[in-house]
Amino acid sequence: MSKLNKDQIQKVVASALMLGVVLAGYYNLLLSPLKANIARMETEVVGVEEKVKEANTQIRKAQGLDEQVAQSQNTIDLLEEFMLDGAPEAWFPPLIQEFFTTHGVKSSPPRRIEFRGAQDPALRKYQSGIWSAQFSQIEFAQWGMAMSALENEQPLLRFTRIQVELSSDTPQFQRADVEIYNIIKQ
Amino acid sequence: MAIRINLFHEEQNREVQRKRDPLKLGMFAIAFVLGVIVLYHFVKMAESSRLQSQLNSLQQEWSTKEAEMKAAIKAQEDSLNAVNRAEALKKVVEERFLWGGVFQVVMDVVPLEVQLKSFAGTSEAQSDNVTIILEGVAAGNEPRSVAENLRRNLGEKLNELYGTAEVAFTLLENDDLQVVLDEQKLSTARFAIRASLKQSVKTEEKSEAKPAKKK
Repeated sequence: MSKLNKDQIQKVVASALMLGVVLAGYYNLLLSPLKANIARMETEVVGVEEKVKEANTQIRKAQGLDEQVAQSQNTIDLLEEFMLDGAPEAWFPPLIQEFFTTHGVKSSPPRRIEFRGAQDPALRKYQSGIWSAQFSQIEFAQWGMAMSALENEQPLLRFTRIQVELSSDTPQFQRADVEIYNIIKQ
Repeated sequence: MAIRINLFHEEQNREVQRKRDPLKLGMFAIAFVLGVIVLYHFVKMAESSRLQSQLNSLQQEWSTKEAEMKAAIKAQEDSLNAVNRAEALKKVVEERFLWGGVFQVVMDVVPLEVQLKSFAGTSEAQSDNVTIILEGVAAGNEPRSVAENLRRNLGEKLNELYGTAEVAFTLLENDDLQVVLDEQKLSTARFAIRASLKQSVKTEEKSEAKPAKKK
């Protein structure tokens, strides 16, 4: 191979410099942004894929609850039938009085003591009603059967305090004072 | 050996020099490098384009799934609320104390020689403690034993029904009062009996018994 002359050396050096400039320009202006773009898109693809996967899981989970919800809704519907619409003072006292009357027990309509919000957060749609019912003249066995029948027929009702005493006027009878607790709509 | 004179050696030397021209070789090398770079760039652009289309389709899928997911989350919240509400209502129904059994026990265990003056019962809505207080008068030759029999029978029956019942006298004392029963004059004793129950004990036993039944 012949030696390069001065002119040729200058051309080779100039070409090499030009190649370097082209490579640096290419790397900085084209390749680097392209690589950054690819990296960004790869990250985004992974992120969106995870979000889609999570969405699918969430949708499946919600669908899986359908059967359980149907059962729960049945239970709620069934029990809410015992909570009539309207002001509780309007329907509850007559309901109880009528119940005892049909069981042969004379009673005055229960009086409201207070309404409270339910303590259980799951029952925040409802409130607790506390009532007081007086029976001035009862025969214990008959009254006891009526009380049992009432607590069997009204699943959301419970007696929290019961006081039965001999009646001073008519010793064969008793008088009773009962505190009733029930769950009612807000 | 014959002498051969190459008359074209100058021409051949020029040809060789032209072929080995470093400038030309350098240009070829540069062209090759640039070709490789262009090829590499196209590969990268293809990768970028593939990723872009994948991202577009995923984003399109996500935009439909996002609405579905929001609806599903809302539905799931509503569902869980309904499930919790139903469970809480069932708990209210199942854990309440039913007095029917107590009334029956009282009617069963109170003998003819005992007259009850009062019956008091409390069952707090927020706790599982149930208290029953019976006050009355027992008559007999030994009225205290009559009252004790009543206490014992009451305890046995309540234990059968509710598991753990503590039944104790809070008052038992002879009374000056005398009564006539079956033409017999009998002395009397005043008593007060307090029974304490835990309604959860029997409820727990029932819930433990349920799986066993299934087997």
